[in-house]
Amino acid sequence: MIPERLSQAKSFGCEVVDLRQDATMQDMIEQITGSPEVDAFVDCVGFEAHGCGHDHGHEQPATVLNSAMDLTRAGGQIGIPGLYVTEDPGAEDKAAQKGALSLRFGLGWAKSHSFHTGQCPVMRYNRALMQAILFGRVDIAKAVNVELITLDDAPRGYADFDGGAAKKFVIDPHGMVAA
Amino acid sequence: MATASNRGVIFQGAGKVTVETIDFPKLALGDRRCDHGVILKILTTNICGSDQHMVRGRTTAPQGLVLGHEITGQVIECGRDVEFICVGDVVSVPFNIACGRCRNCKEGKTGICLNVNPSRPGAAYGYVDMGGWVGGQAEYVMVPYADFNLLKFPDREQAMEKITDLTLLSDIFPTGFHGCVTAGVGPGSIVYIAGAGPVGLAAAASARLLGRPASLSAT
Repeated sequence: MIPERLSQAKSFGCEVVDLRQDATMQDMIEQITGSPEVDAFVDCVGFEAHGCGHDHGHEQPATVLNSAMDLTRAGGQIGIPGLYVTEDPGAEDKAAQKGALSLRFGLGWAKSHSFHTGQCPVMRYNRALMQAILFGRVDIAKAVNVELITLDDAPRGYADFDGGAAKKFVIDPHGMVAA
Repeated sequence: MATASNRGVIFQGAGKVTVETIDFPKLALGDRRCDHGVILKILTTNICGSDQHMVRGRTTAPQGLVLGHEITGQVIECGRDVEFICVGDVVSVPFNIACGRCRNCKEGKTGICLNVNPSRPGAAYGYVDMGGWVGGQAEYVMVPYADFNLLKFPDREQAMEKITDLTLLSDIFPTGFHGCVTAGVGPGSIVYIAGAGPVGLAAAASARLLGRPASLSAT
């Protein structure tokens, strides 16, 4: 839970939910939108997820997917670009070490949710998004807070990013961009 | 061309990366020539959250792996069979390596290409279990199936002006956008985006492009 990242989301007009609070996610969402459910849910966390509220320091690899089923309206879709794995030697329990998660799948079934997994097939979108950039329809570098670094600074980029920096580190290996 | 030197970011075991001299890329796949490939001089190459999974020791990534799958560069050498990409082109490299020939590529499912990774469908540069391709957090890299994989920017000067935006086309902007598309985001949708790291922020920006009244973002 990283406040700087939420501020970054606010900077371009998102409403934010701070999961360190001891309130239910439904209540926090209802306060913003007037409804405890959402139309669409996107999991951009993946398997290194942590719990909410008083449990936010503890790793729970299924927590985002279970929240998705709680919060998404019946008939809604759940996009899962967040990464899940088949081997996770660092996981806290044996099942998770093989990528087996404790999902309340019956809830998703009861609500007729659809789940969309896997790597993004980049070339399905990259030309259209290039045009959106070149014609000034989106400031994506600003939204993700790009910071240019040198190749020699890459280890620092990794360390800062791991520490939760609200930045996207872009290496400029020949100094051709900074020049 | 004269052999140049190359340097790249190397995974050295849990919690450690270093910058080392690495081999200059060749138009080759093992012992076989790779005439459908190109060599790129890398303009920008991004650090991804999925790289962090490896560096945190949460995968079986081998020590010595050259990291990096978010690559934008300039073509400096083309294999004999590259027909439409030219030396000098400035290009974005999709992180998914795809052959353009298999059943899945033909259906546009390039994230699960069947011919680029002996151990499972789908491949990427510099990533554990993703086919053993050399990563692109480096000065130079080889890109196979170049005509199929590469997105050429229309104008070099315009591309350099917007390079910090365009560099995000290799992964996180399409990835965030894909998350929203597969979640059914359209005009008027209320969208919950779990995670406010770079992909989450890219998804939030994508939800705006797709026309939402409210995106909720949470870390």
